[in-house]
Amino acid sequence: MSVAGLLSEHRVIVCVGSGGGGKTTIAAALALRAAAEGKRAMVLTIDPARRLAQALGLDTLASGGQRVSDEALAAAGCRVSGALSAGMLEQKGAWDDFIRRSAASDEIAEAILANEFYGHLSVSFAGSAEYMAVEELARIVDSEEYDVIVLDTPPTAHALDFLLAPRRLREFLDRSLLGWLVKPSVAAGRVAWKTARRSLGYVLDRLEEATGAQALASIAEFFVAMDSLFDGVAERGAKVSALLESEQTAFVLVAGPDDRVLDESDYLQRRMAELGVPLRAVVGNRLAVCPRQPDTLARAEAAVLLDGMDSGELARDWLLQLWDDAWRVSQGQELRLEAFEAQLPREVRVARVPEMDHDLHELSDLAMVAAEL
Amino acid sequence: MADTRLQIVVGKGGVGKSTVAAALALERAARGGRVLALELGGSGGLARALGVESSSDPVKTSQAAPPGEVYVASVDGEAALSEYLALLVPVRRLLRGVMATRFYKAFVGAAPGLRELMAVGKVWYECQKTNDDGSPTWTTVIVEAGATGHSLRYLRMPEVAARTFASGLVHREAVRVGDMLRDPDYCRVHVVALPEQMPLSEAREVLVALDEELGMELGRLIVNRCRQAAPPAAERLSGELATVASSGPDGCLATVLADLAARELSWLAIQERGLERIERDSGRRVLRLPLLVVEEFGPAELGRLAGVLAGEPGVNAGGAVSP
Repeated sequence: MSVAGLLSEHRVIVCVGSGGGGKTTIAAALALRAAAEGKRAMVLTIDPARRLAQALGLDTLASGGQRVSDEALAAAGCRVSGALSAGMLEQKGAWDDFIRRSAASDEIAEAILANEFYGHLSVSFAGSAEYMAVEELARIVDSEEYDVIVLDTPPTAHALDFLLAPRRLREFLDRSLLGWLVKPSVAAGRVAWKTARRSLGYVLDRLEEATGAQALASIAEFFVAMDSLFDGVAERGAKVSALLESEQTAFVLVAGPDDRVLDESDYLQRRMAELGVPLRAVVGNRLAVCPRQPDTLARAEAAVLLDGMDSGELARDWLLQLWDDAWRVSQGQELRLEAFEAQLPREVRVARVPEMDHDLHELSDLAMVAAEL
Repeated sequence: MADTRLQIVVGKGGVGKSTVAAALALERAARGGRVLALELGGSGGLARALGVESSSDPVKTSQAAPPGEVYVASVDGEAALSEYLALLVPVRRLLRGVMATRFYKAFVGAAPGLRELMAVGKVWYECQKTNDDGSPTWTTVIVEAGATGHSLRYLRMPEVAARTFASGLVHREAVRVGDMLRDPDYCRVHVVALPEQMPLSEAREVLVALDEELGMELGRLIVNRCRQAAPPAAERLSGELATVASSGPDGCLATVLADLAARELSWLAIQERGLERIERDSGRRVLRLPLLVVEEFGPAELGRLAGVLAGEPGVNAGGAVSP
C-alpha cells in the first residue's frame, strides 16, 4: 500500500514532524499527486516558504489559497485532471478573521481586536499558530471547495507537539477560567474550591505586583469581551477535534534520515494512541542514494573502470571515496528505517524518498518527489 | 572573535545546533574554561551530544579535556517559573496548592512569553552566578536556543514581555535581561546553517533580524556539514563517465558512477554559490564545519569539530568547483 493511496481514502492529510525533515515538500507533493488523480486538492502551509510558492509558480502564497495555473503545471510536465491550490496561513490575520467570524457583534469583535493582551496572544502565544492552523483546516473542510486538503504543520521540537498545542490553547480559552481572573475574591460554593480561590487571590495580588496592574486588567478585559465567544470556541474546538480523530483524517509522519523520532517508535505510537489519532504513514525523506551495485566485486569493477579514464588518480580516489561514503550512509539509514518500520503496526505505510541532486526549484521537482510516494 | 560570557546558538531545526553548541563548549573548555552548556526548550539533543542524561541540574560530561570542564543542563521555562514564584510566595503549602490549579497551568501556558521569559531569566541567573570568593561560577555559558525552529522567539521575549507588562517586577526583569542580551561585550549569537539554499537564506534572515530588530551582536556564522572540495579533474571525470554511460545499458556501472559524480558536483556547486552569496550579502566570513561520514556520530567526531572551531584545518574550500 502506497502513501499516496491515502489520498483516495481520506479527505484530510496532516503532515507532522520536527523541523528540517522536509514536511512542506512532502505536503506539496501529496497535494500535487491528488490533483494528478483528478481531485481538487489544496496544500495549506504555515511556513512562509517562498521557495514553495516559486516552485508552484505563484508569487507568494495567499492566506485564502490560490490556484496553481494549468500552464505552470503543463510546463512542468504534470498532467493534472483535477486542480491544485496552495495557501499559507498568516497567523495574525487568521486570528483576526476568526474573532470577526465568531463574535456576536461587530462591537465585541472590535473590542477584542483592540485589546492589548489579544495582540500578544495572537502573535507570540505558544501554540497559537498551531491552533489557528487546525481552525483554518476545519473552515476549509467545511467549505467543501476541495476534495483533499493537505496540511503542513509548523516545525516543533518533537514530531507530535503539534497535536498538543491546540489542546492547550483550548483549555486556556475555557469559560471557567473567566471567573478566576475577573472575580477571584468571590467565594465559590464548594469548600475545596474556596481554599484554592483564597490562595489564588493571594497569588493574583503577587502576580499583580509582578506584572503590573495594567497587564492583568488587560487580560481580564480580554476575557470579559471573549465571554460571548466561549460557547462558539468550545463548540468549534470539539468539532475540530472530532475531525482530526475521525476516519476522514490521516496523519503522515515526515522524518529526515537523522531524525530522532526514528529511534523512538514506542514513544511515537503511545503518544499518538493517547491523542486518539492513528498514524497512517511514515515518509523517510532525503535518504542517501546508494550506488546500485554496492558489493565488493562491484567496487573492484568500478576501480578498474575508473583506471581506464583519463582524468587521473586524484579524481579516481575522490569518486571511490564518494562510493564508499554513499554506501555506508545509505546502509546505516536503511538499517535504522527498517528497525523503525519493524516496530510499527503493519497497516502503517512507509515510503522512502531519496535525496535529489539539487534543492527544490520547480514543479517538476515536486512531481519527482510525488512519484516516490 | 570576542569570547563573551554568554554565547547563544541559533538556527532552524535539523541544522545540527546541538552538535555545534556541544563542539563550542568543548572548544572553550579545551582552553581551560569551566563551561555551562544550556539547552532551552529542550528535546535533550545537547545532553545526548555530550553523552549525559538530560537534567535541569548541571551534569558534568567526561568528554571535555581536563583541566577544562563542561556541564550540561536543560532549562524548562515552567520549572523556572515555579522557582521564581517560590521566591514571591514563600509559603510552600500555599504555593503547591496554587500550582495545582487549572488557572495556574493555563496562565503559565498562556501569558505571552512568560515561560520563554523565565527560561531566558534562568540563563541570566546562571551567567551572574558567582563562587564564594566572588569569581564567576562559569567562564562561559553556551546556550542552544529553541529546538522549535523559532530560536528567535526566546531572544525577542524580553522585549515582548517588557511591552506586555508595562510596569512591575516582570517589566524590570525583562528590561534587565534585554540589556544583557544586547551588550556585545557580554553576549554574542552564533548562527548555524547548512550549505543549501533554503537554510542559508533563513540564516540570512536571522542575521538581518539580529542586526536590525534585536540589536544583538553576531558571534560566528557557522555552516555545518560542508562538503570537501572536489579535485580539479572531477568535472572532467564526471564528463568522461557520462559519455561512457550514454553508450552503455541502463543501470550499468558507468551510469551509477556518473550519477554519483554528478550528484556530488551539483551539491558542491550549490554549496559554493550559497556560501559566496551569504558572505557577500552579510559581509561576514563563514566558518565551515566538515560533513563527517561515519556510522555513528560520537565523541571523536565532536572532538574533530571542536578542533575546527579552534582553528584546525577542516574543509578545503574552493578547488575545482565552478561557480
